[in-house]
Amino acid sequence: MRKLIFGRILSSFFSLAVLIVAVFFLSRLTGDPAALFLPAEATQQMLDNFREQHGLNDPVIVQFGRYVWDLLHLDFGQSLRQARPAIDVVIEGFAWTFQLAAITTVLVTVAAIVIGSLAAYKPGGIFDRFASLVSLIGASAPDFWVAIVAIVIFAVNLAWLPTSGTGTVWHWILPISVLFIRPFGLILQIVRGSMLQSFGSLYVKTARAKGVGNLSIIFIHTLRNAMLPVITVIGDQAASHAERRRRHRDHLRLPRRRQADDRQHSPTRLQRHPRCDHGHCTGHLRHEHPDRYRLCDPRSARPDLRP
Amino acid sequence: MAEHLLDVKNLSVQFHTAGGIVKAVRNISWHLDRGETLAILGESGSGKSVSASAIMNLIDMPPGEITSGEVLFEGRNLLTMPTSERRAINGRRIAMIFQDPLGHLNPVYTVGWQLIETMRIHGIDKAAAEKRALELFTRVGLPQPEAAMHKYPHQFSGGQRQRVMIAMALAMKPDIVIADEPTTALDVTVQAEVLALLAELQRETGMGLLLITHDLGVVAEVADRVVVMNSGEIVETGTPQEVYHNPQHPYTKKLIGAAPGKGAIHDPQGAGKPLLEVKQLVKTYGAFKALKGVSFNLQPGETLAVVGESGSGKSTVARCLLRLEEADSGEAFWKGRDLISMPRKELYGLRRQIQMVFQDPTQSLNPRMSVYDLISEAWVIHPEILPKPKWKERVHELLAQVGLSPEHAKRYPHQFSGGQRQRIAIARALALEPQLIICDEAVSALDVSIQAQVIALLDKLRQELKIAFIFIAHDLPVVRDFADHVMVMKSGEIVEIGTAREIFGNPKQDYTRRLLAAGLDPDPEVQHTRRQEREALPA
Repeated sequence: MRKLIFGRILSSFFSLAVLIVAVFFLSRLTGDPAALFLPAEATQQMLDNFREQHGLNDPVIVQFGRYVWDLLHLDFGQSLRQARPAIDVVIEGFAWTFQLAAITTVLVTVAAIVIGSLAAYKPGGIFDRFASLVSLIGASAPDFWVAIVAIVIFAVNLAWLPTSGTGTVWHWILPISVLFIRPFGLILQIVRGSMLQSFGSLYVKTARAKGVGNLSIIFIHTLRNAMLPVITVIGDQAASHAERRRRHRDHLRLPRRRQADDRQHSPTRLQRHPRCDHGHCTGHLRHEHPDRYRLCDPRSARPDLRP
Repeated sequence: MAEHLLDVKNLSVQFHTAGGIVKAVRNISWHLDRGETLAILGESGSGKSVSASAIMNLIDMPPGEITSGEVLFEGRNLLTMPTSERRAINGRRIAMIFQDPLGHLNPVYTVGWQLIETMRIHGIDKAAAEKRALELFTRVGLPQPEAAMHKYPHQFSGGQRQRVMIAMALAMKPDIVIADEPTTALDVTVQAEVLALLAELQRETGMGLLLITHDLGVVAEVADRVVVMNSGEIVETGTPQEVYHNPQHPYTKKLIGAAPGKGAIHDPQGAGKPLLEVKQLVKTYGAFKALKGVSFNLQPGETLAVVGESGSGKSTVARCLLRLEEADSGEAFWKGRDLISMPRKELYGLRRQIQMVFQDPTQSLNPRMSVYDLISEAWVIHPEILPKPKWKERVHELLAQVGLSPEHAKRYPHQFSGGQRQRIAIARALALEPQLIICDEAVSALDVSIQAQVIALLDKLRQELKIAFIFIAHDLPVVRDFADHVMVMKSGEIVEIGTAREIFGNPKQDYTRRLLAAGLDPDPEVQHTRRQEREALPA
């Protein structure tokens, strides 16, 4: 076990190192940071000052050394736009993103699994057709468009919900609903497909022969076997939530987060922190850490024992 | 008329398929009494499992449909009973054991959990269920029953898994146990143990046992009465003795006639220069020693049968010879050239002389290729065998040789039955004009009557074309009719090797004797004596 953990930590460090190098040098490839960051009418004097202030006159390799040295001291540098520590800006924005992502992912997972499982129990039945139709619409509706339309209808015309800002429960409803739709449609389809396959299994026959009830067959005997592809997709979706959330925030303006976010994604983004991209991390987990799949499938627990 | 425990009357079941309505079971009636073992005997597609599925409410409707009849359990018709009542009967009063215990046990729960669940759904409290589960695992002979409770199905052997299934079926002390091909997937020695356990448990509990099987030997071993089914109809009923010695229906006669192990034993042609000389073949997988130094010779045109239980290394020998797996050490001289150390390129040309026929023709034939493509593909790869203009003629010739007709060339594998598919696989092997064909359990998946036909075909090919065979099998009677030499393997070693006459007439090793004694004979009297002999053998 210790060997395993050690191995995983080592491989994580390797990925992180590659990431740091890539982030640093790729951001330099987009052009002269000073020119990109300052307005076009800035004087040569201003540009020089900017470069001097941020050490951009040094050779790139020296800058990189400084960058890594600071990182090792957990100094993530200053946000160029806000002139305050980058880590604060990120954490502030991340808190919102994380809360939204967590709530949406939980809601989507529960709803998609319950409805998808029930739909698969009687394929072709009324409930299945209805669920499939809804999920198909959900999976194919472009969410940036849904976001705008939702604002127009629910916030502007009907005035039921606020257009932006934070504070009350009402502020959460619109962003969560919009973020919910697409992954719900997609994951429901995956659950349904995976459950259909499991229902055809021989062990379901055994369960029936034992006299197990329908609900127990669906949610105890079949669901756990059907969860592998579902978990894969949920992981992937949770990762892309961060990505989508950013787009939506432009439409559903929760102002503070948006500001923080703009800093993060401004073209020159020179804040000196190794942004651990959410998507990258989850994908990485999925490929590099198959251990968590063992929770689902005990057969993968001791590969060394299998013939 | 006394009431039977279970009475099936005029049952008809049909399935709506893309190809039209299939009448799986037509107007069948049978009954089962307490303490009795009834066997339903039939080949695949005979409808023998369908009536059991109807009793357990396991037929998917649609596409299935019960068109007539009733199933009376203690006088009450199961088919018209509400689902909740049937659920209360399933597992508690009538329980079922299936053919493939690995598939039929849920892979993600421990076997202990699955056993306890059976009792919990029928209203036994947790502590009592746990206690009984432990008793049951001990009773069915699982090693270390306490540890076994916390293990998953994949951590057991096939025989142990079947014991788990039996424990699950017996949990509620049911009145009836339905066993659907319970020993088909098991080795002969394990089969004998499982059948003995079932018989013992039946004596203890007085349950009625319904045994569905294709194996006359199983019928002879345990059945009190037998029902013979063919294409959805009952063709004959009676005691195993009556049915075996005095079959009335032509189908029963054919089935009994096809039972292997009664033909003349072959005698080898005499020694010459061996075609294949294998010396000290060793293969390990990690710490597991699959082959521990196996040596044997094969004469041209001779059949060597390799017999052993699963895990004995018999298939590994074949895989190493064909270099589908790399052996760790050892030599195998094919006409004086060492197959094991031969460079890949040279081996490639040599492969056409050694061909293989696999167990499952459904999986070993590409479903997207027509029979013509499947057979002629060999000549695409080895163009020196036959010029293209002659391909069509030769394909037709080969099909005729394996007992199919030339118009079959245009069809695809799914349009054939299992036996016909195996013939196609043999024709494909013959296309390369090999001198050795390795058959890895080539007839194990086939019905008895088809099995006999395929063996007869192989025998004919051997005589006509002088092809040598390595015939890997777990079934001794099949080997008896076909082999010149027999090699018995266990745990990667050769236990005994000799002519078929020596091995079957005068086995020297205890293991060989045990293996022979564990095989089931279709003749009930012979089987009775054999069982007594087996019980007398040292364990």
